[in-house]
Amino acid sequence: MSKFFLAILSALTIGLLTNQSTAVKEQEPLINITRNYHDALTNFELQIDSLVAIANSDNQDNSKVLSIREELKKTRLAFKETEMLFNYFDPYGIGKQINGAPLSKIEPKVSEINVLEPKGLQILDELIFSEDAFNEMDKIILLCHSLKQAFSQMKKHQLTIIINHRQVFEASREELNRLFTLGLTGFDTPGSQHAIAEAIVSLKSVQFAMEQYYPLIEDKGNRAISFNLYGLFEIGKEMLEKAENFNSFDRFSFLNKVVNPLYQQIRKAHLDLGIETIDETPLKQSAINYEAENLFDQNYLNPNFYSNLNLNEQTLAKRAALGKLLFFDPVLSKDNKMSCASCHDPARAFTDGLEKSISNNGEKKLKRNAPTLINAVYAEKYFYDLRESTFERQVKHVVLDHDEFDTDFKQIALKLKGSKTYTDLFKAAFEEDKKYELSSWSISNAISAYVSSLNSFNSTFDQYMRYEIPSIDPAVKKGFNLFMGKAGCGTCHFAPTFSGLIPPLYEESESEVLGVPESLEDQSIIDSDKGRYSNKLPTDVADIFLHSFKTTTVRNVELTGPYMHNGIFQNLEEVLDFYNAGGGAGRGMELKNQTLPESPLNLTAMEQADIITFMKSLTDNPFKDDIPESLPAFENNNALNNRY
Amino acid sequence: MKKTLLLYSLLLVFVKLNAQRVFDLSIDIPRGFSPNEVVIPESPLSLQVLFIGGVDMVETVPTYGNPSTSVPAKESHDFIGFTPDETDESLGWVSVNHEMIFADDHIGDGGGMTSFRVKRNQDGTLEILDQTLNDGRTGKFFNVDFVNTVGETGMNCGGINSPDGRIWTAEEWLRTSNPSIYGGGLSIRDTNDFVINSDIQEWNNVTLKKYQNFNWMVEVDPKQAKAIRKQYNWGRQAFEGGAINDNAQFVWLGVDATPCFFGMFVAQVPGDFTRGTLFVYKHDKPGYNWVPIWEDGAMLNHRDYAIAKGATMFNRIEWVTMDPITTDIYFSETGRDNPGFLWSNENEAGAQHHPYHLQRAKDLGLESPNDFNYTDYYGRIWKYDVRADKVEVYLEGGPYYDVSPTEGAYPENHLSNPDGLNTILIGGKSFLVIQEDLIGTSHGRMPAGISNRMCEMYLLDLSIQEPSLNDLIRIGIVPRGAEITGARQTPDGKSLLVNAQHPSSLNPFPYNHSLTFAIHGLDKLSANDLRSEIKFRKQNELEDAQEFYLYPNPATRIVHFKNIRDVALYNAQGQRILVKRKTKSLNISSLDPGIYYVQNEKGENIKLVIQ
Repeated sequence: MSKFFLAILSALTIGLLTNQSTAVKEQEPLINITRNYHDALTNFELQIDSLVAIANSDNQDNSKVLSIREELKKTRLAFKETEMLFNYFDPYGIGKQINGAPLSKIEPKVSEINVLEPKGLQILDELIFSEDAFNEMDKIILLCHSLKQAFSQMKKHQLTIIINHRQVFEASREELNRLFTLGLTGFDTPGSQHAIAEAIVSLKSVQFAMEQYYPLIEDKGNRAISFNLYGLFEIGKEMLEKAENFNSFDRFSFLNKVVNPLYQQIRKAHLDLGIETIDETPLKQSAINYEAENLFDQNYLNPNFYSNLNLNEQTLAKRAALGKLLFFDPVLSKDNKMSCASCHDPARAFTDGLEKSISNNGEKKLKRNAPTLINAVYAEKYFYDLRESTFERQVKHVVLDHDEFDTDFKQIALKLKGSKTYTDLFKAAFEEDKKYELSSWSISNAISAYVSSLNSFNSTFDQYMRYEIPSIDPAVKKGFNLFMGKAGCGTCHFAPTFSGLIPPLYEESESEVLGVPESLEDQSIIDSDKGRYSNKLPTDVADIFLHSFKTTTVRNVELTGPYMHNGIFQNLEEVLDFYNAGGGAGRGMELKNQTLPESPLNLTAMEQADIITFMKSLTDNPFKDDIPESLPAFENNNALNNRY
Repeated sequence: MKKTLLLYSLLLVFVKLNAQRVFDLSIDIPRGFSPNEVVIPESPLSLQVLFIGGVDMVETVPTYGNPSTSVPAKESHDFIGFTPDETDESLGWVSVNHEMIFADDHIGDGGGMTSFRVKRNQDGTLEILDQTLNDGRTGKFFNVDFVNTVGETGMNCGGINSPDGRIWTAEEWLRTSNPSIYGGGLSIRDTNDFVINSDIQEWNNVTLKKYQNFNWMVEVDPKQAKAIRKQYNWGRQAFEGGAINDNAQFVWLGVDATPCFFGMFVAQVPGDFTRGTLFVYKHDKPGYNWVPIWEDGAMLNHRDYAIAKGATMFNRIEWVTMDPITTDIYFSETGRDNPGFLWSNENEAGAQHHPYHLQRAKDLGLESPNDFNYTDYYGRIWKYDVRADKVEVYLEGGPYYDVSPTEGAYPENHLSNPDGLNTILIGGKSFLVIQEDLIGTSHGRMPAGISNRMCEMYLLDLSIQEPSLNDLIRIGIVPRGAEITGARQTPDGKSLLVNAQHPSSLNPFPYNHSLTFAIHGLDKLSANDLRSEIKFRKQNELEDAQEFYLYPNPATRIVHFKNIRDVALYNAQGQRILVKRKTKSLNISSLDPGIYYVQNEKGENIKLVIQ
């Protein structure tokens, strides 16, 4: 009896032990990462306490400013140790309370306009490192207290999260993106520019996470991956440690030699370990394709996330082909003269070369400059004034506008019914939705399918970043480094779209107040266009959006002049001049809410030329000759057949 | 020594981590296991699209000098009303709110409403009937005429559906000046003074500034698709929802603002809402917990009078509904991240905090809800017990911080920012339908690492006295990612009409639009089935169930596990298609019929046959 019992017991124990030893080995990375994360959170909390203590101190002279500066630097570094997982787990909580951009925002989902003032480490960085820090001390103290209160609540939640493998890999790649696009550009540290030291901490936190997986990777017999990871982290740290200062750091090489290769290798490790990817989980829909190996991959961002089209390839192709005909067909407008292409000419990367586009009767200037449509899909909101949040509904604005198509969908559908080619194409492209085969929806949907296909990340610069071409003009490299560093361009024109689409989630689009002048003669007079403030969205009628405009892409900027919402600048030199002077306010404009720093950038003529060379390396218009050979015929209306 | 310590600490954390398995990329099905088989029958519920915003055409009346025509309907669907047909020609009329502001030459500026008439077909689906209205309009969908009756409306959010089928639409868009409604000529173009023509005596022929003609409850006639009256006698407030009692004499009113007040209007004659008394709730008032608001000018400045009279403050009340069985009133308080600044002045001016918020502030280590750092991330459901004349919390949102959910556990037991609220009857029992509208994704409102908004719809059995979040029954059949609102049961009990308000690319056309659709088959559900699911879940909290067991609910299309699991789902070929960690359930509504295998972290398998 007892023998039998013992036998069972030992069998059980052995069974348990073997099971557990593989299980324990698989758990070990998570145990260490979790413990390390919890330590980092505690450390950050203690550091916030020290910051609050200094803020509270009675010290009334300027030495308080100096000591609080030192303490804030430490607090930010302590935050950076938590950032990889903390920001991954609660990005919007952090944006609001811990490390959001120092810009006012409008509270979402309420019926009145409520301006939320920025809180957290970024606004503290800006205030504490400003010349005016001493006089801002009351505000600084309040913000420090608020940081403490917010973090103590958030920490409790973070401690309960059970981290899994997939999240570690996603968070690691996200942190790589963040440390490059937001950290090293100085976005994160608007006052101190302490970006390099912070990037070292960020990179080390990714390294720590990945190191925990080296034994498992080796077990899989793939030592090369762990060696590659190890080597890349070492190179990265060395490059950062050797950097002389913020302005001189070679971001181009860091991206090319460290960030992108790590981005690729981490995914390799992830897949090699057999850990599930985001695409296998039920909840998340991400703007980023996890499959992308490089920040400059053609498919880095997922157009579907923005376009809302969600179609299989075949249907998308059918609809895009139909949409292309509609795009070039003036039959959509009331008098059959104007088409989408009238203002969006593929030869000019879908712009028209005019300051402001011309109305349907040819007599009037429209309100604004025609923006490029290449990569236009990658945005949270559309139009210069961000008035439309649905990609597909953009068409409606053009159709109804009295100065543009001046008609409605009912009229367009009626006309299109007079063409057998069109009705057949609609039938084929919308066969699953017969009831709405030719409707406002199908017309908008087809055009949107076409416009959403106008994507390209295949410029010389992209190709070099993907290691597809062996060399690139050294001026491009210099220009990129200035763009992402000293000149501050990359803190609004974020990589890789170089537009206002904010990394690393790419879910929100920014607008900025620049102080664009009405004329070149007197640049202290602001253009009368109120921009986002007058976009008719009830929640945008706020002073912070007065003269605020969407941050457009600088991709293809070589082809899309003149520049700005009113086309005021004829060439890129004038644009650079404008920014170098600190925008409108920098040129003496009375403008309280300018979001661009008004201090001059002090760029030399050579530096400005290099930035322009870099921007020109982003020229990429594979669609320039891709126009329909002919437009469909109208059997019963011969007059229409002479429409082009 | 060091080694032992390390081992010990490993074990400690190990327990907490609960062994996460890296699931094999594929499994070899025939070898080595004869799994339990669970068969999930076809869902008794089915979906039918009724009305797509921006696509379906509505018939308009002559407006702003433009002739009667048909144009694409407005979008952003929110509230749904249902007016039963007393004849047997049809089931009744559906009315749908458009929560937007848009200048439109034909529909009219501002927001709007669409109505249509439906009939129940033999096969259980609904058919939208052709109608000719008294004003000569012919078609299926009709724009409710506000411009030529009571003046434009703005942001038509929630509303009221009285038990006898009368409909009010709520104007949430609180404006303070004419320029603020003009919106550069793109919102409300006519800002001339407005002369009221009303059956409310004291308001007839009164002249208002145009902006003052917004933010009222507005009664509409869905059968003739025109507005009847703005309820100037219910006060000018950022209305969101309301409920009316059985004999049409009491109206309870919800207002979406911080602070806001819970309102009540009592008609002098049942069914006649042109005369009566308006009250606000005041929890500390001796006798009836209500104070009347009646002074000259009080209707236009309702808020100031409510504050002066020390009314009880809430943090964004959304929808209000009545339990048809007990006649108790329920309303959602959606919450707001940092309300402190928004109600501190009002508190000093006399308005009172509810003891519940005072206690919450204490629990957060703060002196008062006025504190800059007072937070209310999740919101809650309140109950107004009609007999006890008392407002108390019925179900708190969350859970809060230290018990906040992990990714997998999120959907079945987390309630964030309840908004739409309605009651429905299943098998003679009343259930609350709770619809979330997330105001943010931070602080655990979405699972860690998930930033996009996902709004859930839940059922809650109203016979439960002190419900917890575990009593919520999630409806899995709703298209993923669509923010669901409106939920209105048809009078024959068979269908739930709902709106998908915001487009989402998670869904194919037309579910990526603002649309109204029906969930048919409610009559095939049983209250007992729904309750047994909760029972199953609660049972397993108590016992430490080690066995891998799965409880399918064919109606809600969710399968539940006995305890928290990591699971991988494999298809018939044995390929891994889905992994969910730390979960107690799996939503199978998007899976095609077929054979699947579910494996847990111990490698145990269950065969899942979805019919």
